[in-house]
Amino acid sequence: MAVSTTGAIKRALVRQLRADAGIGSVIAGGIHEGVAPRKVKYPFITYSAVAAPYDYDWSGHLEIRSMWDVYAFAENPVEAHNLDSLIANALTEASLQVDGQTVLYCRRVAEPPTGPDTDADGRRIYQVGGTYMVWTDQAL
Amino acid sequence: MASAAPLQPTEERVTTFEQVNQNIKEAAVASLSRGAEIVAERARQRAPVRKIFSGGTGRIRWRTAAEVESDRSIRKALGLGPETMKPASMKARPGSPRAGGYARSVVIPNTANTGVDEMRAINPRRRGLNRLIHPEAAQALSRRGRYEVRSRRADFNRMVGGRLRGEITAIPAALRGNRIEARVISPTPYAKFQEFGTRHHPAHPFLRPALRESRSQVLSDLKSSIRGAIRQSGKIEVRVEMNVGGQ
Repeated sequence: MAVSTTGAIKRALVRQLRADAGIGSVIAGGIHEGVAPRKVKYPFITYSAVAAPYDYDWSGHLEIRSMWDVYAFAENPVEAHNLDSLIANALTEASLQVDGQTVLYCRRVAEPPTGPDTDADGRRIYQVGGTYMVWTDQAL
Repeated sequence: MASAAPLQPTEERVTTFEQVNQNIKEAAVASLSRGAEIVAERARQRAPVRKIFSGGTGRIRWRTAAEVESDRSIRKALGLGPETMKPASMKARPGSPRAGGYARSVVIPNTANTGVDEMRAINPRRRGLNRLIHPEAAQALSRRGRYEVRSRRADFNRMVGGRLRGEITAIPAALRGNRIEARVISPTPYAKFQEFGTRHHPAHPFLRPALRESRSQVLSDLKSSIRGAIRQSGKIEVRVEMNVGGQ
């Protein structure tokens, strides 16, 4: 049987974020993987995979315990924190539809310490986000 | 008064709960210290190193005249023609590998970006563009790499790049209250930007993946260490005393 990889988890995460009406109404710059292009409007969301170790068990199942960083970037801290709260609400215990995998849980497990930064145009921007763990299972 | 009869001394080693507890703690501390080293080593493997050499798998260089001469008989046996000559437009300094007059290129493996440290060694006695000791590494520097070497931005322990990787440290485990803590730290100032990413560049996490990937190995070692400590403790002596009627 074909193994379903972290690509399916990534698609499910982005689908979940896009499906949230609250997030959709706030973000002007969209959702980007890794880093957003320079000319993108604020606020926007970035996501990236941190780690996704595979864990095979003796019953023929494969568990992927993937961790994802999801950040909100905005020009003021309140906007960034509000967007981060919307993201947390959308993803915490979300019933993600991952192709070929059963989601055991999706939880926010940490908040990486990030401070204000200056972008290429000299604007002060705020990066607020969290680390989410998505634990999935699939039969091999 | 009814009290337990005094235990008869036996040949087997007898320990108390406190001693077993102490043995378990010591085994756990030693195991977690080893675990921290495992995580640190994995983090070092994952830590990004400055890419100062030309991209791809290698870089073309001129073969030396001696290399060409050594292949002459083989080429003749295989029915191949002579090596092409160096174009007239190419000027070579006397004594340089190109001065032999042959212009056949071979690929220098670009091993410098994949963790071979001798390629990144800096010659401390030379200043200027080519301060790397290894001549092929000096030739393979990218434009960015030449700037890094010249400005000494990436100079770390006489090597180009590798500061982030070199500074990852495992602090041995210690008992703090009821917790046993071991730490793996990356004290480099820009480590958090690599770990979490910024507005300008994506994250290249190395600490958290190292922890996640080492988790099962560390836990397994911890379990077997504790099991071994219990087994080595011998039999546990249990003393039961009963006081009846306040006597």
